[in-house]
Amino acid sequence: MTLQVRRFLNLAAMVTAGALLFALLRLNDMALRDQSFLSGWLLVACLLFLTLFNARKKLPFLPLLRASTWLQAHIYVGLVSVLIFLLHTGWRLPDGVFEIVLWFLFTAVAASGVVGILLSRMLAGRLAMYGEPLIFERLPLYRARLAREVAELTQSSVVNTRSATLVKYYTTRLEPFLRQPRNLLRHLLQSRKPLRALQREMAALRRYLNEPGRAILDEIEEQVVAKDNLDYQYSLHLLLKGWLFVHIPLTYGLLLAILAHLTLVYAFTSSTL
Amino acid sequence: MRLQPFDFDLNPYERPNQSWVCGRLNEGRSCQIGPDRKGRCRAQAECQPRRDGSGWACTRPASAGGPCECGPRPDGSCSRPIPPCVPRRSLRRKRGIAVAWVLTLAIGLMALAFTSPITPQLFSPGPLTLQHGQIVECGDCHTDFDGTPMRWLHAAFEADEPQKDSRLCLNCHQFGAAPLSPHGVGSDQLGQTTRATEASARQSTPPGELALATLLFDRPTAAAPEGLACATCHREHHGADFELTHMSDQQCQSCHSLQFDSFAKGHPDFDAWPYERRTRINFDHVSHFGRHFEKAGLDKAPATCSDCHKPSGDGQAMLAGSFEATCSACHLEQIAGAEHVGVKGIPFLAVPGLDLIELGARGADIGEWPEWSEQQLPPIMKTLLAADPATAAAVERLETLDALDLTGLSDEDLAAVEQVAWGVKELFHDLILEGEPVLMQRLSQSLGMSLDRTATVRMAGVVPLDVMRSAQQDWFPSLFEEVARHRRGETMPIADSVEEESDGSIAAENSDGTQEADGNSDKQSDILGDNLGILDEQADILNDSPGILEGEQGILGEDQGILESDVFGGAPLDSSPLAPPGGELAEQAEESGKAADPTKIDTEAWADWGGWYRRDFALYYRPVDHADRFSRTWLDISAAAVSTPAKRFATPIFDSLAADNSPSKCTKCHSVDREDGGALNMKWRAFQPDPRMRTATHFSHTTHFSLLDEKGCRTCHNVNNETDYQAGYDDFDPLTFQPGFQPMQAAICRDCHTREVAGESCVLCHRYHLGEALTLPVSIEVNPEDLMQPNDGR
Repeated sequence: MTLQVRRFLNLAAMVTAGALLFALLRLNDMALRDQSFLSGWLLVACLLFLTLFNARKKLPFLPLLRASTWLQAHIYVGLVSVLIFLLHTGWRLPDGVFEIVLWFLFTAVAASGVVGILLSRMLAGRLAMYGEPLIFERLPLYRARLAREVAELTQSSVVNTRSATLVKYYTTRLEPFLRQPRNLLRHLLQSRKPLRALQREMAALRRYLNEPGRAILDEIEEQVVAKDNLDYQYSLHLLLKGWLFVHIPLTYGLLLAILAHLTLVYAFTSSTL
Repeated sequence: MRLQPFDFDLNPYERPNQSWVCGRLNEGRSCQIGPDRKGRCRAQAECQPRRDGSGWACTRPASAGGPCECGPRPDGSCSRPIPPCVPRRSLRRKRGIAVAWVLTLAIGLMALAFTSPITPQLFSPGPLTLQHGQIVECGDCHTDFDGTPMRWLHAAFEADEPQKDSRLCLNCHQFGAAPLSPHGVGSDQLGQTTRATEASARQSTPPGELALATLLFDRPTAAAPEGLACATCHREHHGADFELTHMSDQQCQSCHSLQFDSFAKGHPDFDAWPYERRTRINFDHVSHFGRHFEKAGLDKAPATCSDCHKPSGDGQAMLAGSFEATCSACHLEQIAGAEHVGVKGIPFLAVPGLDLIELGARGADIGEWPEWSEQQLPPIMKTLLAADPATAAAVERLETLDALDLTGLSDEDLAAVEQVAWGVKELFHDLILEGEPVLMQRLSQSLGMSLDRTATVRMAGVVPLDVMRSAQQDWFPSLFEEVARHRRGETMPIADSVEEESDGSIAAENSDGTQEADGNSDKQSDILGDNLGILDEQADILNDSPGILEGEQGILGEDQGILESDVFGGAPLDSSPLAPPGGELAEQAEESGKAADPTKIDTEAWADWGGWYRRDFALYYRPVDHADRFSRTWLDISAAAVSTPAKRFATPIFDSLAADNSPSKCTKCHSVDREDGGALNMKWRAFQPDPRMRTATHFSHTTHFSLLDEKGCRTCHNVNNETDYQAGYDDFDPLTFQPGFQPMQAAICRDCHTREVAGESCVLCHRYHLGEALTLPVSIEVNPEDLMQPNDGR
């Protein structure tokens, strides 16, 4: 099954589910029920299912389908829950203070989720644009390795070139660059300007080096480009993981608010149906 | 240049799920073992050497560079110790901390909100509608509000009466005895209505979505058999402009067994509506249009429907005009007795005719008794006599006899006759001496109901004392002495009476009802007699000298009206002349040149304008006008009593007054309905909409006036010539009838009322809350001092 077919089937299933839920709520309203109860409980069920995805990730040893399958379900159920939410709230901002807070919480969670989907779709391709795709947790190792190798090359240049030109350049420009991730925002904007600036500096440095020194500089430049690619990877990974710092904490806050909402609703409901 | 190898042994073991990572990760020298769960560094050396024969072998993994050159120490420890690091939180752990912060913040904010003085405002789901905008206390509508948040938590999970909040609604909105049952009607009526539509429901095909809704969800009435909460239909907290009473057509039908698409498709025909019961006033449009109006002439017949029917204040109903405006032109004389065959008055009191010869022979103890009376006891008088159980039983026994031929009378029958005779005399005696209280007491006792003064006065017809006195003096001249003797236990054989009669002391009457004009009769002459009668001997009722009641003012005295002297406090007598209308006798006297003989006056004819008259040993009341109070009150009281134990007295009264030949002829036009308990109810007025009563269907006539063409009212209302309208009044059931109009056609309404034009929603014509809309009683205590305070002008 190709990605397009799978996506089409998933979308079709989501639209069908949404239409069925819409019809169900309409029938519920027609039967003189306060459809906000049914839509509310459907929403709670959807939210609980969505939070199970997080639990599933914490229990990787359980044979409960693949994480990618869960992700797909998470995405489409999340989109359906947005429809139920809109039906539940009557397609408008509530009037009560607490309900407005609840509305914004859900909207923030849903919006962050949608942003997450978009980021996943957009950044996945961009990860392969510069350098090789790397595992996020290993990036510090590679960054340290590159820094160590550049330091070793610089040290070797003193012996081979009998010149401190590269050492000076390393000390003033390369060591700060290699010490930690740099230019993250520019990488998110797909800007290679900082790298090119370094490359121009290194090109200008060549005239002050002899042949062995230039050979070492070429190697150093290769490592600098690799480091810049690492930073690029790091910035994208950070964004891919960073949106969850909004999505997940707000989800817990939302669940707590929903609990209060349910308590208030059932404490003060006047309906008999 | 490739950084990331994918060989299994060239990469370190990642622990992304753990909360802590090695502090030397950024240096590229993270240890293999990593921190413990509490974030403490566990690394001591790069490997844990293993025993290799007699020595030790390095176990450093390939990802960390493989076995080291120097190898383990002789004691088996690693020769490359790792200085402890400061572990760092993993990204997941940081996210967990963020979650904890958010939760803490949320809990804290909620705790503040729940304990805040503005908690209701914070947690209110929204403003109330304009109608409820004055409500500021949540507890006015929510029974569980008055408590702590813990109480709310408890209320959210406890199973209690679901309608408790709705009962708070009823503090302001009152909808009768079953306010929360569907439509506010009882289950019996609801079941009856449902059964009536079951046949139609079985034949109809409900719309698909309604059928599906019914299949998926129980009907609301089934889901909440104990009653529907107000919030089922009226949902608050949606803002000031929210339409609280909005209902979709499908929602309206969700409870109904008969479901259909729309008014245009599937709505049942109107059937009997709006002719769901016979009209309260028996008015046959067919006979009036066909015969009576033609006979009455154009000057009396209405020209248009609106001559008789005017819209009610709210434009809903078309009301029939008053009797005076619409009927009196032709029917007033009939009420006065014109065209009436037989006695035109209602008998009130009478002297029953008795076989005095036989009674005399048997030595009956009845005292003096008019010889020529052939009257029977009127139903009203029987009721008055029935206050005494012994007399009531005697009356019943007497009715089994032929009172005018008592030959072979048994002793028991004789005793009954004597009991009745003295009962009659004591009734006259007590009425004359004690007046209204006697009447009230006797009627209340006989009819088993508590009569007030107003009803009693009306039932007495404000009979003047002189009418009673003159009757007594004619019929029982020695009444007071005889009753006194009787009550002392003395016996008075009838012979004494006969002897007195032979002396000519008792007025005799001619068979035609006129009175003898001899001197004796003058003494007991009718109040309506000439000035030779009692009026001369005692006191002319028109004279301002002391009247018939010694020591009191004349009943028509100058300054003291009849209200003061009239034993029943009735209205003053009309100042009409004491001469018969038309004055035929006066004309005859004038023509003959002789004095007129008032004894020849036909008392019944004299009372042509209504009131009391005496004839043939009976005292009659002739209805004064339309809506005569005497007739109305007796009909009302007797109708109400026909279902009570007093029906043996009430029924004859009612039957006599409601008979076709009844003098009052009330029931000729006014229908009589039998109520649920069996009592009868006179319908004195045509339909009058009660603004407090809400019917299931409403229709505004005035709204549709501008739409009428030349057919006018006949666009919808067409007379039906083929029905027997009058047959509907043969019984007391208002629902068994044939309307005088052809059934209303829903198609007429459908011409205009579509979804696009004029609308066709259920609530356009139908109401949910039926029955009486009660108003809240004002329970404010009034302080007289406050009432005396000047108004501040606001």
